[in-house]
Amino acid sequence: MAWAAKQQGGAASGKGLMHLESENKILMEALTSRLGPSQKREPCELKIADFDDVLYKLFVPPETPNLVTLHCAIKDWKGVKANGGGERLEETFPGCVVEAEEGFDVSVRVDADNVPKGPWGSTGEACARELADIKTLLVGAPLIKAFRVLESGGSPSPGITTITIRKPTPDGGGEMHIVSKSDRVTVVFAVDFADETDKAITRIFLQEFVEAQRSVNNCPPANFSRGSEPPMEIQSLPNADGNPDIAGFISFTIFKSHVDSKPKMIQSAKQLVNFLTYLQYHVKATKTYMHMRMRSKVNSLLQVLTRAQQMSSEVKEKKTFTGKTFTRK
Amino acid sequence: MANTLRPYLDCVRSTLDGGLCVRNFPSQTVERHNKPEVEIRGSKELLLNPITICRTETERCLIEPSVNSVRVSIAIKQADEIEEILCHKFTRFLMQRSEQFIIMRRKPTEGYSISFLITHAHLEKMWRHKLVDFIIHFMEEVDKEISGMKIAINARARIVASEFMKKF
Amino acid sequence: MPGPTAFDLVDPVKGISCHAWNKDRSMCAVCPNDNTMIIYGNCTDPDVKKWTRLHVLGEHDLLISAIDWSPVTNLIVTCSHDRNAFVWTYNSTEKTWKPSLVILRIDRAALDVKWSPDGKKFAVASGAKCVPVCYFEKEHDWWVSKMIKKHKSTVLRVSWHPNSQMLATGSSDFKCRIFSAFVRDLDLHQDSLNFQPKAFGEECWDCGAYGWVDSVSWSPNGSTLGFTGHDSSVQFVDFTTEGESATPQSIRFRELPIDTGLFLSEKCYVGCGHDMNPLLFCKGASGWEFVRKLEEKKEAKAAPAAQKGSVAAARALFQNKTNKGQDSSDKSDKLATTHESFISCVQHMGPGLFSTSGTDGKLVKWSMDTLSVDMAALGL
Repeated sequence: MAWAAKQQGGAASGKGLMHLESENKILMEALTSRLGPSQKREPCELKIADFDDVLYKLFVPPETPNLVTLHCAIKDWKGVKANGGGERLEETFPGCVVEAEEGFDVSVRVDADNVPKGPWGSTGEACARELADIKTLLVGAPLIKAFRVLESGGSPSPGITTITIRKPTPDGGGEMHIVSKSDRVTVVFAVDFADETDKAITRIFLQEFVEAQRSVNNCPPANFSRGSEPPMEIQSLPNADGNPDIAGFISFTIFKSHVDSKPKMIQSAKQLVNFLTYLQYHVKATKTYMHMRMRSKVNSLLQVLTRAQQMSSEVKEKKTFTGKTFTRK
Repeated sequence: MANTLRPYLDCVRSTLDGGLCVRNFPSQTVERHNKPEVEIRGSKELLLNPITICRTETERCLIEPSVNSVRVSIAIKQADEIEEILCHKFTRFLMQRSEQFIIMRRKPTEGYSISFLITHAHLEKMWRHKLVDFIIHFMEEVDKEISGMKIAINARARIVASEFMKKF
Repeated sequence: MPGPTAFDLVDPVKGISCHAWNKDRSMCAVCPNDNTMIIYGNCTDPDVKKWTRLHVLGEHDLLISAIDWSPVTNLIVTCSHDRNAFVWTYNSTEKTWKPSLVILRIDRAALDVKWSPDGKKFAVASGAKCVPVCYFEKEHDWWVSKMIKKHKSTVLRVSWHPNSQMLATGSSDFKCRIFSAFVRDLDLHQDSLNFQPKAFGEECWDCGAYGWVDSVSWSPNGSTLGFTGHDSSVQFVDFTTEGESATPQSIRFRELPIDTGLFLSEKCYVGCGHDMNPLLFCKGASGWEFVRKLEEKKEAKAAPAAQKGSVAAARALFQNKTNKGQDSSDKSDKLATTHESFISCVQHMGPGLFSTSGTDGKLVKWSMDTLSVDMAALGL
């Protein structure tokens, strides 16, 4: 508990272990060193796996070390592309999108000698940051699309947009459903973990999200429902009966106030895209904490059991390293 | 709650005190064997009547004495899903370490969360009163630990959730 | 010295399974809860360090469950969970104990052994639900055994009547029985108390109990039989005038069950067992009654203070902390009784004297006249 409380303080300053940053750290480092001010011209071929079954490959050929190509595979590119993923990619990295390599969905090539301009600015560093967070950019695209309609007061397209964020467990889960209405966008996550303990902890966590909205100002209302009762918004889906074995559903309702400026919109999308990762991270951390507790409890119980053991009264003869014997008195 | 816990544990304590009167008793069915009769169950006359002590429907303790060994099984209270999971986790964690715990069984008796098997050999090496102390302490601590863990998880979840919500 | 005298003979981690004295109690045979028998000499010395370890005899291959030392013949008999018994003869020229294996003809562990008071026979209690009675046949130079059957479960204890012809047994089939152990060639004239004379192995008397019959013993002149049940009870049967029709007087007590007991006189019985504190029963005008525990609660002895400042003391402190989670040994681990685990063996040592041993590795000598008991009531 003390640990978590400390982290709370740490989180306020933007550091600490409370929040996971959405960009990929390894990618960030590799990109910054090649695009940033140091401008190392180093060839590389780097393959990285990230949360939510995302794969990256950073490729810098030795013959043209200024050309940095990032390949990226995401779980549900089809869904993302159909819901504004392609446009958003083009919009963010104009002129840099190249044909995707086999096994990947998206490829972006940046010339380090001539960093393109984008919404993020024009420095190589900013470009690297944006590239390292390409997952948020892509998966967030359908959200941004819906948010834009909401912000501009346009009439939303009916129906439910479903993006599979991660590979479902045997029971299911791992999807994000976006339901747009004229005054709100409801984002429903089907959450599940393979392990029973994880599921139970997840349910506690999800319930606390509902509680948290009361104490935090201006946050989107959250709603938790068990796996057997999917929320109203997605009951029109084909398998709407739900699945009692999955951990549950949580829905966040985004109002206009959450997306009325560009940074806010991007921040909201980012939070939602990384929601499952954040949840998983903390569920695992909780399990670690439980293990630590159990370990120390076992030790203290063993001490009590040791008290019951009769001690040998025989004086043990010990040998020192050099072979001398002595008896402990 | 606490006032019903005391008589429950006192009852377990005095039952154990009487039940732990075991002797070295070699098997009368198998040559040159010396096995806990409460597990072998070979001869009916060597087993005493098992005693169940209940605090609530879910929280109970079964004491099965025999001539050379006593089996103590504890059902830990599990009020809700998370307590069930925590109890399962914790008892499994403990039973994986049953070697260190000497008197702990690797598997609980059916219908119970955790079991101990105390044989005459254990009582030859340990003080009986301290062993009883241990079991009572164990029962108290396991309950405390499980509710403590539950509270800790809830508190963690609250912080995690509100931190997330603040970021919008 | 008031109260019992404890001798820390064996490491408490090992314990003592049984012990026996020679005739003048200068030597003691002890089994340290394994397959060896150790014979100590100079046992009258109050300092256990001055006892001399004379012989270590390891002929058995499993735990020795009982030892008996005949004062008549100076032979030792041991029996073990390995189903065998050995009779040990002292060779005074070689100063060694020579074992001779006895074919008991049992296929389960032996649990108790007793020489008959005349030293000619011994009886073995066994897990084979029978009692071999063995005697020496000169012409074959061989210990032969005759079987007493009729038990429905393990025989836990045997006890000889002073006439060496009647044998009482206690069994885990909840019964105490008396058998005829009359061997015509050996005993010549049959004495069957008030019972119908019966042939060897015939049951003369039996009585049920509400628990395993953990111990049986005859009073010194054989008029009373005492047996204890695992239900914390002791039964006394008076055979002075009655035979088959004798009924026991049963006493239930609060304390934990007695595992082994003996009569110090016709009017005084001491039961030792799981309570770790011998229980005294006396016969008054209205029959037998529980008198008290022999050891009275005493002020906890101040633990010998570890020398302050010594490295060993500091080390012990930290060891205590890490292993047991205790800050100091103030929270005394010590019990109020001298024995710290259950008493498994008790032996006569003379008028008003007896010794006990248990798995705590202690041999304790008890002298009634130092225990502030009403000596007159004991009828010693």
